[in-house]
Amino acid sequence: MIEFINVSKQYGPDARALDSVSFHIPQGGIAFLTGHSGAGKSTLLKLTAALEQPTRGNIVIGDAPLNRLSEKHLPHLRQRMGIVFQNHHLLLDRNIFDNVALPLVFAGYGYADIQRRVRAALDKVGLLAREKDNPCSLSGGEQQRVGIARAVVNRPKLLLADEPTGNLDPEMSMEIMDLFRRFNQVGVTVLIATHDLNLLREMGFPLLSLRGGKLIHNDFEHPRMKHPA
Amino acid sequence: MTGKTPLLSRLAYSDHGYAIKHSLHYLGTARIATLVTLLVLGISLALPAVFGLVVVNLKRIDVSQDDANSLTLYLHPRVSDLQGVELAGDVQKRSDIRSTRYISRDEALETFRKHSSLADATDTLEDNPLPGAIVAVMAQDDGDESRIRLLSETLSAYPEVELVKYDLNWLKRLRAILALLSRTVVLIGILLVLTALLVIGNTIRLEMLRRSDEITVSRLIGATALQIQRPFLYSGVIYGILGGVLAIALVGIVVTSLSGPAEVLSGLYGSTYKIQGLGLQYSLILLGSSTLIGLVGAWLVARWQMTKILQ
Ligand SMILES: Nc1ncnc2c1ncn2[C@@H]1O[C@H](COP(=O)(O)OP(=O)(O)O)[C@@H](O)[C@H]1O
Ligand SMILES: [Mg+2]
Repeated sequence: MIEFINVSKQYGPDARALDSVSFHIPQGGIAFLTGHSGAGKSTLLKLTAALEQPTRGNIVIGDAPLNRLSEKHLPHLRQRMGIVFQNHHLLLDRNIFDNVALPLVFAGYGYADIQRRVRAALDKVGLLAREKDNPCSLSGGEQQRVGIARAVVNRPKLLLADEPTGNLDPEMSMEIMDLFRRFNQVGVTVLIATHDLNLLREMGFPLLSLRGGKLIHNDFEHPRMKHPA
Repeated sequence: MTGKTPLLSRLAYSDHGYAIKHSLHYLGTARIATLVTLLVLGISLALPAVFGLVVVNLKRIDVSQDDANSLTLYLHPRVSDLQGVELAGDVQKRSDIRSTRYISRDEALETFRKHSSLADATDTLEDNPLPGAIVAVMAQDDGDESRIRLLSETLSAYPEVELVKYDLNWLKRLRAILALLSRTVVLIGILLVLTALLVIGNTIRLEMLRRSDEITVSRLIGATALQIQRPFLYSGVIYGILGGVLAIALVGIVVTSLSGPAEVLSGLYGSTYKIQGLGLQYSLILLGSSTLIGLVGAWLVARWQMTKILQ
């Protein structure tokens, strides 16, 4: 589902964020992406969502090689994945329903579908009763759950999360992780960047570890590593 | 299926409706900024419209003033008043003459006495030295010199007519001034349209900065470049429409407050001149241009700003 083949990302002459990274997370898999701050986790996720282009190497999402996609096709690619961030990125000028509806509006759904899907997504994260409220009125954990509802409302096959529990206490973090696990159980491929060691131990998902831009640990097989760069 | 949901909700969650709804909402929250922008916009659109109306109205004075569009036929002194009136009637029957007025010799003397400093001198004269005259207003008012010269030659052919005079000079001067004014209006108009574009552009730029979260999020969840820009294009259009309405209202106020004095003035000249306002046609043109200015201003800035915010 996510395949990196000798991917490097250079932000400047001395700023190498990723260094020849290769791995393959199969469809329906779930994984933690770990590493210290600055190890390259966010960069790896941005490359996966085609928000940045790799300096070298190839990335394949599903069966789409990203380097063959033109800028025009990227929005459609992103519509088929869900992205969750540490700072939830909710829009505070509109209510929770409208926040979660946004991806569907862009994808061109009719109102009946939008209503049904938004309510289903909010129901899954336990916030259906708050749909008319402003995101400001929610706790940090609840806001993050709205962010997750927005990420999954399009029923994506792939879910990316960048430190989704960074600002949350352990109990709330576990709730969020449980949500991800449930989505994974219905077939969604999930990749979660985190440096929370407690979570890693508790959840026991396969690991990908980065250090200084290099992949130093990989719990998945990596068939193409037979051909090093 | 869709028939069951209220139309308004369906519109509000369509691609365009959603953008319009949240742009309106933003304009409502940024009330002061919105108001200032609308005022500047309204004024900078109303000014060229007012100048334009000044020119339009001067042009109407130009063609509506019979004095400016008439020939004076001076008759031989031996022609009697009766013959003069008869001739005036004949001339009026011509298709190229709209109306005539006979000025008898006595009337001419009376007028001369009233208006001339030489009046006293006439008292010593035994005979009235002034001829009778016919003022003939032409049917066409294009001020075409060769046509008027031809007509005046035709009219001099009447045996009773001694001389035909016409004064195109002040008409020419008015035309020259009007031409100058028209050009000034166009130049001022261009400058003020640029002002309007800058104001809209700057307002949209600020709006994009304040709504940069929305731009980031929209991109992340798969909005196309056009979809990301759409709320801001609609903001521009909304500014354009509201600014246009404001400009029309301002012009209306100016016209109303000037029409009283203008009527008094034209009354003094014995005419019933009425100031011409924008009317439906010019109002629509003003509204249309201001909407277009809003869209173009927003579009230019959105394109340029997008690349900056998304880096
Ligand atoms: N836009 C950028 N421009 C320059 N350097 C960057 C940029 N984004 C990330 N980096 C650098 O790349 C490295 C990896 O960053 P990041 O992927 O954010 O790490 P993490 O998410 O693991 O903390 C860091 O050294 C960071 O300074
Ligand atoms: Mg990071």
